[in-house]
Amino acid sequence: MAEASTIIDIQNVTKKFGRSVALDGFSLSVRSGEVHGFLGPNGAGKSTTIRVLLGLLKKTSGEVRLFGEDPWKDAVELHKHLAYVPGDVSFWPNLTGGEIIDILGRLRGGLDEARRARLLDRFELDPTKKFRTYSKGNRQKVALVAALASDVELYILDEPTSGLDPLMEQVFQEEIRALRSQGKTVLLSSHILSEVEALCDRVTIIREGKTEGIYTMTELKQEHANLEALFLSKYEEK
Amino acid sequence: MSGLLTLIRLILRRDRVKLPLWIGIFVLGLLAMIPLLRDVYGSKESLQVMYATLAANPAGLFMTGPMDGPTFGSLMTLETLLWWGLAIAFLNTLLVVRHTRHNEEIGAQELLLSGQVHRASSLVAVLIVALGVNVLITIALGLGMNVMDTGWGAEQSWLFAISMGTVGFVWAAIAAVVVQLVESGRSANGILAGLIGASFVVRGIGDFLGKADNSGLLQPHWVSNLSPFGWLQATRPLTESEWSPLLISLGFVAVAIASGFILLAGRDVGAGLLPSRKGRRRASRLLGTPLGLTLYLQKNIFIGWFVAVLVLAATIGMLVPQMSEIYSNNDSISQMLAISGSDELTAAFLSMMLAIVCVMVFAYAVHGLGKLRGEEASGRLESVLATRVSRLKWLGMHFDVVAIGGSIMLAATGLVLALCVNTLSDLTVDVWEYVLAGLAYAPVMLVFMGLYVLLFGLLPRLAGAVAWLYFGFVAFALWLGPIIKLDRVVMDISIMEHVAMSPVEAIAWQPLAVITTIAVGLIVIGLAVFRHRDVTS
Repeated sequence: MAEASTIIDIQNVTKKFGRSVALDGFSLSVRSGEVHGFLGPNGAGKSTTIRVLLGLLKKTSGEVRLFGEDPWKDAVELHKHLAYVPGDVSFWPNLTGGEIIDILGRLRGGLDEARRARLLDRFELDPTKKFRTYSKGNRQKVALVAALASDVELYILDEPTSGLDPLMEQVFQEEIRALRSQGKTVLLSSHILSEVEALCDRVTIIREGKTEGIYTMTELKQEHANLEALFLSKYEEK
Repeated sequence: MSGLLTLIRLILRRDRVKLPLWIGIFVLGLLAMIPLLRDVYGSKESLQVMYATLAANPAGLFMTGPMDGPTFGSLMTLETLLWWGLAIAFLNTLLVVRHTRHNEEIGAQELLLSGQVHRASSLVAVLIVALGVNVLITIALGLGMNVMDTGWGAEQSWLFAISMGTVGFVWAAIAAVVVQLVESGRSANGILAGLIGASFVVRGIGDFLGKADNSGLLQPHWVSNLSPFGWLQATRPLTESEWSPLLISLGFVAVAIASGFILLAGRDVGAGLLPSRKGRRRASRLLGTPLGLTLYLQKNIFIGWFVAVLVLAATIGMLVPQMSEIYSNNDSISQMLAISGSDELTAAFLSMMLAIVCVMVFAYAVHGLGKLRGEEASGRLESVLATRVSRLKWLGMHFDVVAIGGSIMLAATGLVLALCVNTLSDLTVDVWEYVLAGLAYAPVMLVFMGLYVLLFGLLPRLAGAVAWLYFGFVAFALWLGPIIKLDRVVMDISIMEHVAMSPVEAIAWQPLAVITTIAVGLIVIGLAVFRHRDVTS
């Protein structure tokens, strides 16, 4: 493997739903070992991009490569190497958090027991409660623990912390830093700019289905006071 | 009561297609029965024959209810009152659950209540809509019957219509109570379906045990008073026309609705009054596998239908000796079964009953496969497909589990039916013949399943509706088709027309092979289409 191989390579992808265009020649690439931020206004196409990457949606045109292969064709094989946290967490209402974490872990090919126990503890999640009795934040924690407890190469996280309190946000950030130091790759789609600022090496901004720009964190910090200023300036541009 | 009008408008908007469709099919279907029945049974002689045979054989009352006299009105009641009563019961319960419990589940309730809306407004709103629906049905039926050439007067027509609307509202009221007790919409629907079934059975027992009084009318056993369907029949709308039983229904409605509101006041939004138990810390070894997860998801559906089907098969098995005599004089059944000799008569009758119960297994199959769309629509499929589970494996697992479950049910139906006949009556039938006969319907079940898979691949949002519609048609064609002498061309759309009715008719292997091939074709195409479409929620 080359020194910094490209784990996710999206080139000029278009995705249409009937007549509406969700992705319009969008490009994104994520290198091995980096934490890559994915930003954009609501409805810009972030979740669509992730779903195309997972083989749930079929691209209309363009090239998508995940670990060098086509995710639409090789989904099952490629999924052995990734874990996913969906934007809208929904699981089986009468199963407990613990059961759901175990199911997803096993369907993925295995859970690290020590990790699982540690994460449940750190996120303060009670695994014996039925899923429908959890608050929104706790539901998210179930998805998070399920993903982070797996030992895979790539973590695809779609707005994973939007319901978590500041303390849990810190726990999340520590866990992601730990992953990074182990050489794992993370694609983090988020609206929480402080989180992206704190964790990401590079950031891709999407707007109306197109790549608005790709920046390194150092570049951004030189040009703008903070990420928020960048964000607003980019989105206000016509 | 703040926000009430908005809520009502919301309910009507959400169901703007469903409600008119249901009401239309309900009313037109019932009114259409009048000329159809008239054609087949209108003559005095036919009516006399029907009346005489039914009067002599009370066991048939379990399924159909009584026939008060050799009049067309009695016949109409016999053929429609109970069945449409069941339909309106489901219509109302599904409506109430959808806009109360289910709302809470999807979190819509919280959002609604955060606005300027009184806590109880949702329930009030849906009950008002239910009332409106029932009143609309009543008016449509009443007017319809009055303009048609029926042979009974205006008072009877309106009493029939009002009785129907009333039983509908009774079930809306029952639903209003049930939704306060359980936490999920699915549980509520399940419990209500069970209550409807139980009410039907209780009324059936009441009729079965009833005694004819001096004027020849059947007076049901007192247990019928425990069943809303018993109250429905008590008005005898097209014959004796008794208005007083309606008071029982209305009184019950008042009590039930009041109870519903009292219970509502005592609980939190989203909670049921029955407490939710804590669960397991770890998933069992089986649950973590695709098969385990599929079994978990399909378990309750299987158990529910299995119990229902077995109870029905056992009940029919018990009543068989008497029931078969009813049809010995019935023209259309004779034509349909082409019998000669009384042994074959029983076999013919049993075969017909076996077919009917097996058709219920097809309903289980459609219901079970409905999980596919459910998992996709809720977003859970996304998480599962993001693991090592392929689309083929996921769909295939559900399909296999339902197919095997359904086959078990088909065999069990034949088994239970035959065993009950053997042990509870003087007759003896070959048990294995009936087991095989039940299993012989498996290819038909596979066609239903193949149809669903194809629709799931092509038009996932419509898959359920279309599959259930076809099921309804097949069930209707089987049960009432011959009786109303439905056109051959129309009957042929039903797949049951193309298989032998065993065991009285020998199993025809060739049609079964063709049907199996069709099923396989549907499944293969459906799978291929599913693998090429987007997964949407």
